[in-house]
Amino acid sequence: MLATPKEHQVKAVFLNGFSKFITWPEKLFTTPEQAFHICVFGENPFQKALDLAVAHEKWNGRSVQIDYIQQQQQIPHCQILYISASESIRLEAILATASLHPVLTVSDLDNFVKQGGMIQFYLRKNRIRFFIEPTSMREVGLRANANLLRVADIVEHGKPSNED
Amino acid sequence: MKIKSYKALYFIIALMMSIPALALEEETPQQTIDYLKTLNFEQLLDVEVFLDDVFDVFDGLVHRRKVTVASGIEQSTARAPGVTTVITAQDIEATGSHELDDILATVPGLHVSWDNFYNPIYTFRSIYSLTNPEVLMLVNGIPLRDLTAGNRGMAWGGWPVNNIARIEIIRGPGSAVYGADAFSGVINIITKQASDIKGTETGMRVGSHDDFNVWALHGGHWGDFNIAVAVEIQDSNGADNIIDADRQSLLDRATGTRASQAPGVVQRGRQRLDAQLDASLAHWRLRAGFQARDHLGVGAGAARALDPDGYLSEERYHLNLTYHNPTLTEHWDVQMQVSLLDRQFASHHINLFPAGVRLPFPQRPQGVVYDEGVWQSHRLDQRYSRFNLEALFKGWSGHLLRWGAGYAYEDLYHTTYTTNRGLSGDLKPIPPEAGAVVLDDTPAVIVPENARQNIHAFVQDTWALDDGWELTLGVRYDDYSDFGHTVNPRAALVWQVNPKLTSKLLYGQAFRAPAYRELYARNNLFQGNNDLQPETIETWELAFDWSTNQRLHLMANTFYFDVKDKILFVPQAADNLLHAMNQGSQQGYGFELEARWKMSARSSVLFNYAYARSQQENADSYQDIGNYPRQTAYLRTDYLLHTHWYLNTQMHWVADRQRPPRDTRLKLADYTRVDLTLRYKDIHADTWNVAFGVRNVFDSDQREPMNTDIPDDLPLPARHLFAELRYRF
Repeated sequence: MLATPKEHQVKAVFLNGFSKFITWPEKLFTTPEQAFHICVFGENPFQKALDLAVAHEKWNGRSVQIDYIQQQQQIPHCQILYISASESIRLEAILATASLHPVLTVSDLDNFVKQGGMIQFYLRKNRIRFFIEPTSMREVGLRANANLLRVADIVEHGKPSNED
Repeated sequence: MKIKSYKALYFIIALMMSIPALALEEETPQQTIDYLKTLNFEQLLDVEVFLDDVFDVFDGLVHRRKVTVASGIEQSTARAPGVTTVITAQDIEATGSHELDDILATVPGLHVSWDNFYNPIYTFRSIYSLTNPEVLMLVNGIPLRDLTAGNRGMAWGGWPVNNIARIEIIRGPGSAVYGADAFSGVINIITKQASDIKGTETGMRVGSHDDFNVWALHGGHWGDFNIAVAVEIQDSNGADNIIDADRQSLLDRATGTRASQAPGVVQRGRQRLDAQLDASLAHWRLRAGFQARDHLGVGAGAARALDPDGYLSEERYHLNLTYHNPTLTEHWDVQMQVSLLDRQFASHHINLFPAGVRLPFPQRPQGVVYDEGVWQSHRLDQRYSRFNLEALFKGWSGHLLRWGAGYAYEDLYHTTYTTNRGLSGDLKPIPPEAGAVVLDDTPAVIVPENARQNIHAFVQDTWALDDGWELTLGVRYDDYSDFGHTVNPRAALVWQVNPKLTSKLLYGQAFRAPAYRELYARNNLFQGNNDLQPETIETWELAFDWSTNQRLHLMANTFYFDVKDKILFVPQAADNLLHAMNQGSQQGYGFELEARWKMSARSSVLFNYAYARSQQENADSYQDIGNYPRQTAYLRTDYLLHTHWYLNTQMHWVADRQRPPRDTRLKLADYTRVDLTLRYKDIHADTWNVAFGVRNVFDSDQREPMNTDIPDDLPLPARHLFAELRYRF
């Protein structure tokens, strides 16, 4: 058994793993060479973990690329957008931009799903858990696999439906 | 001798840097990630993790830290609109720090020295003064101040560290957020809550000089309440350095007496008790605390003549109730706070001059010999009542608006004064034959009872101008019932150049409120002045924060400040007394560099260097104000030597300390101090935690400046040892 991993390492593996449980609209990818983009907006909390997690990964035959971004105009080309805690002041604007595109938004920020985000990590007993808001996902044309919904804490319209 | 000590220094630095090469590498991040990727989501959800923000000492040093003190809003130190430092409980533990002052000395641009009472002087960026009212000390955001001198009080007695969760420090002005005295710097001590303790910890520490310390912390639940309780007791004789000659030695030479207690020991003994309760329920938090300081030795003497017998004491009671609702409505985060602080200070027969002193007296050409010495006992009881309201508004896209208002009633409600020399109640000299005279409620009391009120309001907007740019504008208005009102603005332009580099340009104004002794003292030495205006400072700063990679974090800043209306006691020929006046000015500049480097999975290094200069204008020429170090450097290394064994080394270098104008002594000798701490800690079992430490390993001679009547300055502790034992259950 390996030593206890770091919080950011597990989150990086989750972030990459989400791509396997979500369906993006077919028409999103126009060329076969187009990569699948995971974006980190703001300060990078993952260190190298995210790069390590996606190395040699394929998504439906496409390569997976990590982009560390600062500009809102870069959002549309992201399939998964992780919004760093450093961006809390800009959150509304970022979510407004993201909501116009099929972008899965993920963050650690408190009340993230209440404010329109889709997946929010939180901690319980030194373990990583996450809230998921399927409604806002559906609104941009994303579909979550039932296996993902089964392990997540589902929030509907900002209210937890199975909070324990 | 000097060459030898340099050799020793090179040796220790070489040793500090070479151990990591010996340290074994643990599994790589790649291996960890590869393993995690073999797990399915259900298994991943069950993986226990090391939390990123509860760092182990190696990662935590380098990672970005959160700070609230700069703007009242939690931000990363890189983005905060101020030059800030965050010290965490891990830093305190890793360095084996025993006292607040031990850990504050690690902050770049903050030099800790001591006054004649052996109270700390926090010199931020060359802003030195003996009474040090330029620094605002906060405990959980609430000022801890002494009305008489505007500082932390004469019976400060240090501050224990075991109940500290973190310390946030602003190096620079903070009046636009915190009001009075956030002038050269702000120190905010944040105590532990239930979630910081999680269980029960007991500890004991013994050290040289009969130092004995015992503490217990508990964090848990009681019904629906989260409860944290902390109790800590210390009894110490203090380091026993010798002062060879004191003020009385000079007097003895001039008057033919032999009264001086020098050579004699600096009195650093103390007994103290610190207790705090922190209870929270939903949006409410109640904190109640008690601190006692007793048998505090008077250091080098109240009047810089050694006094082995007199002592100081103080009791502090505080109570505060906070309601904080971060989501009162969708856009409003609201906080209300009521706080009370009561401080009861007493001096117990402190000798200003020892038995047998001969002092001048009107109409007695031979002067008067005081067979019992010149002594005093006095009390200063004060109470602070505060009400504050503040709110964050998030509903305006791209803006974060913070505003608030508050009221404070600050009351020096009881003072007493008994002495055998000085002015009597009719403001005529006390005749030597009179013995002790009680001066309570007379005009000659040491500081008269008085109260003042403060009303304040502030507003601050953080505006995300464009991706990567943030502009913070803030202003605070303070109205004081005694000296009037003042307005202090600030501006910060923060530019996130790229994800790794942040730069910021800062401007701030700040003020220091005149203290009661400067306003109201009327005695045979000092004359207060009711017309004083606040002392003001303007500061410009340019700062950079660069996380080059995951292992190296670099910070740099440069600053310039301009102090006006400095409050000084100026000698007046008319009555031969010192009168408080807004007379001085002071300009300063400098820079600070800081590097945090995680050398390997088992070792890290922190280094900082600070340079500062301060000068005052004097008859068209500029003179260095002296007494502060122009250069300081600090090097800290941490190693995981072997499973569960940690070694911390610290090196402080203090250099280039000029004498103040008119002090003709040679400039103070530079010094280097090395401290070692070896700790056994099993972070998985988290039960036993044992440490051994050596302070001032090379037993170097270190001195901090004293007035010329202690010609050889104040000696700091020689080499000393401690052992510490903690148990968690």
